Formats: sequence, structure tokens, C-alpha cells
Amino acid sequence: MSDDDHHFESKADAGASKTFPQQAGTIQKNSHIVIKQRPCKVVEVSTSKTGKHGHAKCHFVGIDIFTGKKLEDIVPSSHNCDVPEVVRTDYQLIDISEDGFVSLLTDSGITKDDLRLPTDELLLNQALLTLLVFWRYLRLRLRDCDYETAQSGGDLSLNFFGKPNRAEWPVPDSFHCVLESLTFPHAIYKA
Amino acid sequence: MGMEHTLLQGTPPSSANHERLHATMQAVEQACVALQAASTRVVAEASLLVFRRSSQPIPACRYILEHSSVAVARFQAAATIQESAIREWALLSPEDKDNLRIYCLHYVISRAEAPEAYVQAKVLSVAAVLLKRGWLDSVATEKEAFFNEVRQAVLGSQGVAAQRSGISFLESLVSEFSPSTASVMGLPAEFHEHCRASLELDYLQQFYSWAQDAAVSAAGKALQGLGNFHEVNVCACALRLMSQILNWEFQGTLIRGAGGIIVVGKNRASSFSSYINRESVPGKRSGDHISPVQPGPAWHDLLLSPQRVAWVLDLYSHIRQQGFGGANWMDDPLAVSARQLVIQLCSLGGNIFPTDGATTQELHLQRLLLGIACWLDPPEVITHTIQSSSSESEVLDGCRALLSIASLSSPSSFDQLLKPVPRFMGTLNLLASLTCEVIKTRVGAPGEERIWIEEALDMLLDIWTVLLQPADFSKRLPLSSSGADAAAAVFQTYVEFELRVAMASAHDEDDAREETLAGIEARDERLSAIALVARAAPAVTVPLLAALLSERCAKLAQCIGGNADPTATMEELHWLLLTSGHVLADSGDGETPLVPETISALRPNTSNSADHPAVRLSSAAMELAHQSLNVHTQSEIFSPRLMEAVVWFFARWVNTYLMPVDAGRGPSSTPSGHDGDQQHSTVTGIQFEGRDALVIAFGKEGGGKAILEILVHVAVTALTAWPGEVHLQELVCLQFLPALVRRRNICAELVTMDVWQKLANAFAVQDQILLSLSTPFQRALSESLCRSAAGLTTGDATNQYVRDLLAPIAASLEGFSKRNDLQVFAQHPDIILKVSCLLERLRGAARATLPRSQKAVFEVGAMVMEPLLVLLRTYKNQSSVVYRLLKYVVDWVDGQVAFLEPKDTVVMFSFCVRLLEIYSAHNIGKVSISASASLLSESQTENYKDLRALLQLLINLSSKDLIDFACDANGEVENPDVAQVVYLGLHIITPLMSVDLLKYPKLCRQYFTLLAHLLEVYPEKVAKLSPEGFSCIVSTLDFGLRHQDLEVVNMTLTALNALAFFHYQAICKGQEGLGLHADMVQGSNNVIKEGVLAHFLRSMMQFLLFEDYSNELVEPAADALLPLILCCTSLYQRLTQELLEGQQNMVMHGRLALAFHNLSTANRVSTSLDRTNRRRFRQNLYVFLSEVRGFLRTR
Repeated sequence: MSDDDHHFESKADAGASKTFPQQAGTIQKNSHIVIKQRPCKVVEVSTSKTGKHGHAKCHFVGIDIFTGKKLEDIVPSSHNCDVPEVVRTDYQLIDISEDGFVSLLTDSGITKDDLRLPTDELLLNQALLTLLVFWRYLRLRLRDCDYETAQSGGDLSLNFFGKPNRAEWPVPDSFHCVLESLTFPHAIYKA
Repeated sequence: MGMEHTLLQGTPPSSANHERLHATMQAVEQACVALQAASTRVVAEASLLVFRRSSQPIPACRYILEHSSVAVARFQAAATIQESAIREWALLSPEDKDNLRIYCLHYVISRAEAPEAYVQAKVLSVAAVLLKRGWLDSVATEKEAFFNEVRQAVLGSQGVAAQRSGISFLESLVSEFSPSTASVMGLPAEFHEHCRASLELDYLQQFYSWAQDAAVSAAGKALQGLGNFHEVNVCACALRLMSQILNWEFQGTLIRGAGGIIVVGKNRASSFSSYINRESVPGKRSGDHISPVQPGPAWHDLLLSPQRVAWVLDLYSHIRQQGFGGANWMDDPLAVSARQLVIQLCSLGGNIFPTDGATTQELHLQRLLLGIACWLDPPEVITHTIQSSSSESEVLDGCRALLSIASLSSPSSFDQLLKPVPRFMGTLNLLASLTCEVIKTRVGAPGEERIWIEEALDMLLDIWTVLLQPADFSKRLPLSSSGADAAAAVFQTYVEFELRVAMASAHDEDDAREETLAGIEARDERLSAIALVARAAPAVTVPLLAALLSERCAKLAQCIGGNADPTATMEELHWLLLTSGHVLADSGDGETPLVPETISALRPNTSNSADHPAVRLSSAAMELAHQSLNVHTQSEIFSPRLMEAVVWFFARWVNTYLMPVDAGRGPSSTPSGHDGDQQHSTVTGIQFEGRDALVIAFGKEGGGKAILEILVHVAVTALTAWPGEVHLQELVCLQFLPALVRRRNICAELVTMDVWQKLANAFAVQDQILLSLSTPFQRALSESLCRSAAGLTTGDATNQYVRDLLAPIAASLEGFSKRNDLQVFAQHPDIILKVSCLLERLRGAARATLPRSQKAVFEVGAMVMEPLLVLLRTYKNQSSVVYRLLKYVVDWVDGQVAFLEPKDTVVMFSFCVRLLEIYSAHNIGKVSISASASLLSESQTENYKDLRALLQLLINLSSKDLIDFACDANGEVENPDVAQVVYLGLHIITPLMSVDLLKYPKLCRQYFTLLAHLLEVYPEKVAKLSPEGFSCIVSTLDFGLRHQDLEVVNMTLTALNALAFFHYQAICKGQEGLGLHADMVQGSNNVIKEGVLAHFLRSMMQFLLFEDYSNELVEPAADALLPLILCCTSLYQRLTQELLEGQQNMVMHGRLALAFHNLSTANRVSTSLDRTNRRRFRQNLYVFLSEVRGFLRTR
């Protein structure tokens, strides 16, 4: 998806609006908002006034949910802001193929095979690391993935209560339920 | 010097030796030079460390001290002497030790004029350390000889420079012997304690009088112009030493036992907490009221004799008159230390004064105050000179002295102190004029001057607070009429000048400073201090405020129509409302504050109750509130900020004045002095009359109802007429409405009022205006509305009222959950917002669960169960909705759990189990990756919040078992197994917990609360956990035992107690108890892992004997230790044996053995775990620890 897919022309087509108005004063941290026609997650809200006896304004700092860029906006608190509809879908990971594509299971039981592992090194490490933690417990086939790189790239000493992650560390019971519910949300945002 | 000669004999001056020493010196010098450059620092540091740790470096050090021209090298040499002497103490012969001490002293005395003072200071402190290290071994005559020499130096028989060194030596000595500043010696705490006691008992007074003699002679010469700057220096040093000695933490409880041994009073607290933490011992807080200096009766002659006090004051006035020390004389060390000493003398208290009805003390304070008065008087002149670039330190010190005096005397005796001088007309008068002057100077002062002015004002207000509200109730007497006049003058000045400030700042860009919590707190603190002053003279101050308020109110009304700019007037009104609120009422913090005594004692001038000053002030504010209801005024002039002040004022006022509950009853007894009985009855007589006026004006039968109706109107208007003004809405929802519904008698009126019913109705039909409030306010609004149901007379009516409020919410949620297109529909932002609002409303209602409305809240809760589960699934990716949902369930369970019948409990528990199952299915093992690090950390924070909510839910659920024992008796429906639910929850939570998460204090506390509770109530369930699950719990307990938070450690100990207790009892009954967990395990690589109980016994012993902890923890620790010992007797015996073998010293060995013996046998301790036995063991442990820790722990 290119970045252009997520631009909001405010009120361009009145019929099926992709955004909804909401009073600026009621928008809280961690909710979503459109800033400069980009969908953002609000990471900071502060209020200020136009003079001591003026009216309140809200100052939003948002992070573009697709690009991770930081955007800011100031809106009078009684005015409305555009709030985007954000749908997040989680998929369950079934397999990782040799060419770096992942096999995912959708809620409706169909597999989805058109997504690659993230190419960004940081993200890849993050993903592999997390998988490695569950590796032994889950007997997940991480076939020809070069997890040595992941090992050298990230800090693998993930601890459970300060105990080094040793080979003899046994599988906790509770991880059996993990087996059933492990999801790999390569987050897909649908605007 | 002769002494040095003998010393050199110790190291034969052969030339080879000399060369070796010289080489060492050069190496050290090089390293010291290299230390300055960043590139060579690491190497240099390493080589210096090697030198410090080398064996027997003292000859080399001496050589360096005598011959090196590099000051840093000499410093390092001195430091090395200290370190090596402490380390190799046993290797030194008594003569060596003695010589080394004297060497250091002589070294400094003979080089007193050397330029690098820090080297000399270090050498002196080395001497002090050496002296202390050998303190208990050396014979009295040795000390006598040594101190004789010091005394000679101090008294000046060896020249002025030597005199200075002598005094400096005493300074280092005193600070070395004071445990909080002592250096580490690797010796038992008891040693430090003994040294401190011995110095206090035998030497401190001597030091003080030597210093005094030195100061007197040096000052004599200096002031007559005979001496040079050395004399001045000596005098300043001596004065500084004197105040340092007065700063000593006097024990005062030392007794000399038989044979000259000092018996240290065993202070329980002191034997547990570390010396470094001593400062945090309550009562020693700085900033709070000044704690008096209490040296005890022995010091009487030395400190209190009129001549000696007069001498200090004379000295200072000489310095003052002659401007001694140049233009900047005020900050000259001599003047500073003289003032410091005077302040110390002002703080003398305790049994140094004979029991003669405080006459001596008053005379003493009077003497001092007469000397100090000229620092502060006349105030106008003083502030003026400070403004023309003079120093402010004198006036600040004057305030400090005044504060000390005020905290030691009652208002009237404080006032009397200056009565003999007609010019002052009493101390309060001086205080008042000074305060007024500072307030005046404060306005318009430039930035750098404000710093001292603020400090002075804070201190002056502290003095007023100490006088008007002393901690000691017997001193809490009303001011005399002249005192009241003084207070009134201060308040009038304050109001006048603050109003000017308010007016000037009205057009400022922003009030950002005030918006921060710290800013508001600072403002409130200042205002409540000034309000105390106002309450001291209510007859003047309250009418003043009333007049100003109604005048500004009228002015505001004139602004309607756009003729004038109301901003300045609004800012003034804002300030006036805040101040009036503070003057009229205290903040309740959940309680009902009474009308301040002095205000209720006011009498209206006429028989008309409306003439009561407090009534007039309140009516003026009411008038303003009334104006805000007018639609035109609202939009035209009322700013959100002004409305905030109105709402704040009434939120505070309502608690105290509106329909007071005790109206009509007799005067409630107030604590008062035993000597004030006569006065008491007359005061309350008047009070009653004053209170009558207030009751007529604001009581239920009086004007109360009408006022309440207006206030509800004001609340609704404030909530709706300024959309988006979050601060205003916050004040209404979180302060004003809760204040209105806090008392039942007011609720009874509220529920009958049209305007309240309209509000409730708008809420119930989900009126759009109310729904546009942000979510936390939805909760607060719902809570207040539900709470007002307490005012209905019957249970049925209450339930019906709550049901009417909440049923529409349940219906809406159910409607959502049954939609076919839910998956798509639910993701619309407006629907998410609405669901969030409704959940918050439910949560607010759940928090307001009353015994009488519990049924309705449960019914509604039961109605939304299914919809909530659907929504939990639908919103699994909207963490904010999930969190709100969890929090609602937490609060709902919390409100219900105490009341439920077994069959309802089943419903609730099965719902919770399903909720937990769904939650864990969607959240455990979930892995998020994100393009942005900050978004990732946000999602971790969300996980943390969810986890806290889940923990709280489990805690609430498990409290069910504690509440009803009765249910089982009926036995109709089987009580669901709480343990099963909690066990399941724990299973979900333990893998999510990590040491990193436990670093969040709130989460940590909750987790350990739950753990302690579970282990206490369901140890058998915990024992059934898998080895991995169990080891998770064990490792968190390990973590908890070492936590800094007292409460966490306490709960950990409770948990350990429960664990060991369960195991021991089970073993006694022949069951398996913890079974596998308690046994030793052979790990895969043949490492034998101890059983948990043995493991914890070991760490408990380690903890108790060698670590620092509060003595509050001893009791829970004893409770945990006893069952642990009983479970693993053999290990316990092995541990004691190890400890005993480690003790080389025979005396200590004996003491330790005896202590261990007593611990397990004294007081008839047996092997049972009943209450009495545990209590005995606690006492034993106390005795044991205070006996043993002194020498086991080293410092």
C-alpha cells in the first residue's frame, strides 16, 4: 500500500464518510485523530488558553499510524476534530516460508499468504526475537530463517523473573494456552 | 620539632630508604598530575589505587606530606594514611597509633599557614578518624594528654595560626563522632554508638567552652583593632564550632553506669535503621517546624548564663555598627557564624531549662529577641536598604530566629517578649509590620529580588502559622485584641496588594504555571497560611472580603453591554473567591470540616442573621453565582476561569455551611487547654449565637433549600454552557457534584428538586449534550447521580431510581451487541466513543453502589453480562474499550461482593471466569510489532494497565471468602469455589508478570497483596501448582523480600508466614503440605536446589541480621521466621553454628551464643504456632536483634 492510500480529504465524499466528527475536548490520549489528513494515534494532549480568561485550546501530538511520523495540531477545545475509522486485524501465524513470506490464518479460516516478513531490520529482529522466545515451547518451524543474525542483532537474554533463558528451563504450563492463541499481528490498517 | 624527630627514628634514614621513598613520591606526584588530564585519568587513578592499597604505605605517605610540593599528592598521601591505618590497625603497635595521631596534629599546627587549606583539612580529619578508631582502647590519661595539647592550641598559646588549626581539628572531630557524618571503619554499629555517647558525655561541653574562650579572646583583640585578619578568622571559626556543637543530635538519656561505663539507652528505632537514613526519622523533618536543640540540664550554665548570651549579641552589634569586614560585612564569615550561633541559642529547649514555669526560658528568649530586634526593625528602612543592593541575609536570619522563638512559646508570651521596649508595642506588632512591609515590597520587585522576598514571606507566614496553630493544643489560645489588630493589618495589606497583582496580570498570555498541580498546591498552601491570619481577626477580615466581593460583582454587572473590559475585574473576583474560600472553610478531604471556631464565634451586629459577616460574604459569592445563570451574562462576560473559581468556592463552602448536620444540637466539645475551662464556656456561648445566625441563613429550615436549588442550577450550567472547557467540567464533576451528594440530608432535598430530576432525566435518555462530556466525567456524573439516591426514604424507591438511571444504558449495550453488522458497525469511531461513555457511566454507578441500591446495580450488571462478553470479543483490538470494560467489572464486583446471595454469586463468578477466558484467549501470547517505538511503548503501557485491572479483579473476587462465613450454613446453593476462580486467574497472570513489570509500584503492591492473600487463604491450592508456576511465585517472593517499599516487604513476609505455617501444620497432621516444593531437588546438572522453605529461612536470617530495614518489619518478620525455623530445624541449627564459628572475638561469641539461646528458649517459647506463642517469639526476636545487630553489622 502506498502512503497516498491513507490520505483523508476532509468531507470529500459526503455519502460514505471515512471520518467522524468528535469534540476536541473529549479526545484522549491513545485514541485516533486526523492531523494534516493523516490518521494518527494521539500520544499527547495538553490544553492551553488564549489569555487567562480566554477559551481552552487542545494541543495534540499524534503519530502517523503508518509512517510513524510525528504530527501536531492545535484546535479550540469546543470545536470538532476528524476521527478516522481504524480497523486492526490480527492474524494467527501458521508458517514462515523460505522466501520470507508468512502464512497467516484469518478469522474466517482462510489462509493469507501475500505478506512478507518485515524487511526493516529492526522490525524483523523484533519479530524474530519474539518468535524465538516461544520457539522451543511452540516447536514452530522457523525453517531457513537466519536466526543467528537475529541473535547477534538483538539482545536475546530475555528473562523470566531474572532467570537466564537456559535450555533446561522447563515449559511453563501456562504456555499451553499460548499455543492455542498465539497471534502474529502484522497489523493491517484499513482506512 | 622534637616529636617529628622521634618519628623519623621509626624509619632509619638510610640513603637507600630515602631514595625509595623519593621514587614513590615522584610516582604519586606524576599520577596526581596525570589525573587532571582526561586522556591519562584512567591509568592515573589505577596507579593511585594501587598505592592506597599497598602494604604499610605510611612512611611513604609521611615523606610525601613533608617533601612534596604538589598539593594533590599530599592530599592523596593523607587519604592513604587514613585508609591504610584503618585496614592495618591490628598491625600497628599502640605507640605507632599514638605517634601517628600526634604527627597529623603537629603537621597541621606547624604548617597552619600553608596555602592549600584542603590538604590541612584532610590531615585533620585523618587525625580525627585515627583518634576515634582507638577511642575505646585508649586509656583516659592518653586522651587527656592529647586533648591537653589540643586545648593549648585552641586557647592560642601556640600562636594564632595554630589556634585556628586546633579549632578546625575539633570541628572534624565532632563531625567524625556524629554518626550521620562518620566515616566508614568496618566496625560494628555499636562502636559508633559508644563513641558518640562518650564524646557527648565527657568532651562536648569542654570543647564548647574552649571554643568560647578562644572566640572571646580573639574577638577582643579583633574589635579593638589590635589583631589582624587572623584573629577575625579564629573568632569566626570558634563561633562556627560552637554552632556545630549545638547542632549535635543530643541523646540526653546517657547514664554513667558502675565503673565509668556509659550505658547507652537502647533506642529501638536506632538499632534497625541505618545511620544514613537517620535524617528521615519523623520529627527531624526539615522545613517543618524547627525542632528544638535539647542538650540537657548539664549545659545550663554554659549556654544560658546572661553574660555569655550578652557577649554574643554584643559581638554582633559591634560588627554591625562598625561594618566590620568591609562593605559586604553582612555576608562576612564572622557575621554569618555569629548570627548562626544566635539562631541556635534561640532554638534551645527541653530540660536544659529548670522547671520554673518557663520563667528562665522566657528571660532567655527575651534577652535574645531584644538583641535580634534591630535586625528586623524598622522594617521599611531594612527593605529599603536591601533594595539598594545591601544583603538580605541578616533579615532572613532574623526571621529564622523569630520562627525558632515562636515555635517555643505561646502567642501571648511571644507577644510579651518585646513589651518592655515601648517602641515595639509587642512582638506581634513587629511581626505584623515586618510582614506588611515584605508583602508591599513583593509587588513589582524584580526577579532576582523576589527570591529572598518569597523566602522571607514564607518564613513569616510560617511564624504566624506556628503561633496560631501550634501542634500543642494547650497553646492554642485566641490572640489578644492587639494581636488581632496586627493580624487584621497583615491581611488587609495582603488583600490590597494581591488585588493589584491580580489586576495587573489579568491580561497575561497564559496561566500555565497555575495549571500545573505543583503550582496549584503552592498557591493553596500560601492561601491557607494567609487564611489562618485572617481567621485570627474575623471581625475585620470577613467583612472586608464581603465588601470587596460585592463591589467587584457590581462592577462586573456594569460591564454588560460591552462598555468596559471585564477581564481585570474577573481576575480580581477570581482571586477574591479563592481567598474567601480558604478563609471561610477548610478543605475536607472526605470529612465534614466544621465552621472555623473564630468565625462561628462572630456575632451579627443586629438581630438580623443576614448581618453575620460570614453570611454576607457567602451571599456576595451567591450573588455572583446567580449572575452566571443569566444566559446573556454567561456568553458575554463570564470566562471559564471565573466560573472555575465560582465552582471551586461553592464545592468547598457546601461541605461546611450548607444544611449542617449538627445544627440545633448543642455545641460540640472542642479540644482546649486544661487551663481554659472558664474561657471555654464563654467562648462556646458566643459561638452558639454565631452558629445560630449561620443555621438560619443556610440551614434546612432557613435559606438552605433555595441556595441548594441555585447551586444545582450553577452546576448544570457550568457543565453545559462552556463546551470543551475541560478544567471547568473537571471541577464540576470531580469536586462540586460529589460535594453536593456527600451528605444524606442534602441528598434528601436534591432528589425532590425539579432541576436535579431534569438532570437525571437528561442523563437517562442519553441527552447529546451530556454525552459530549469526555469519558472520565461521564463516570463522575453517573456516580454523583447514583449517590443522590441515598436521599430517598425507602429501599424500593432507591432501587427504582437507580434502575431508571441505568436501564437505558443496559438496553443500548444490548442493542449494539445483537446487531448483525456488529463487526463493521462497532468499529465506527462514534460508536466506540458511545460504548466507552456508557461503560464509564456503568462504572460510575458501580462505584456508587449503596447498600440500598445494590440490588438495582446488580440487576443492571446481570443484564449487561452477555453484551459485555460480545463486546469484549468485538473490541479485542481496541485496548481502551477493553480496559474500560475490565475496570467496570472490577468496580462492579467490588461493590457487589459483600452483599450477594449464593445464587447471585454463582452468576457473578461464572461471568468472571468467562471474561477471564475470553481476555486470555485474545491477549496472551499476542505479539505486537510497530513502526514507531513510542507506539510500541504505549501498547506496553496498555498491557500493564490491563494487568493491574485483572489483579484488582482477582483481589476483589477473593475477598468474598473473607466476607461471608454465614453462607455455608444455609447450604441451599453450593457456594462456588472462589479459589478455583482465583487459581485460574493466577494461572493467566503469572506468565504475564515479569520483574520489569514489578518495578511499577502500584502493580507491585497489588500483586503482592493478592499473593499474600492467596497464600494465607488457599495455601493448599497454591501447593498444587506445577513446579514452574510455583517457582514463578517463589522468585517473585524473593524479589519482594528485597523491595524498598515497606508495604511490599510486609506483604511478602505475610505470604512467607502463610506458606511456612501451612506446611508446618500439615506436617504435624501427617499430610504432605507443600510436598515436592519443600523438598530438595537435584537439578539436571547435579546442582542440588534447596527446598523453598530452607531457601527462605536462609534469606530471612540474612535479611534480619545484616540488612537495613525499618523496625516496623520486625513483627511480621518474626511471624514468618518462627514457622520457617520449625519447618527446617536442622538447617536453622547449622546456620547458627556457622554464625557462631565466624565470630572470632570470644566476648562477642559468648554474647551471640547467649542471644541465640535466648531467642529459642526465653519467654517459654514452644513449638506451637498459636497466638500467644507467636507473640512471645516476637518479643524474643526484638530482644535478640537489638542485642546482636549492633556488633554483627559493620560500618
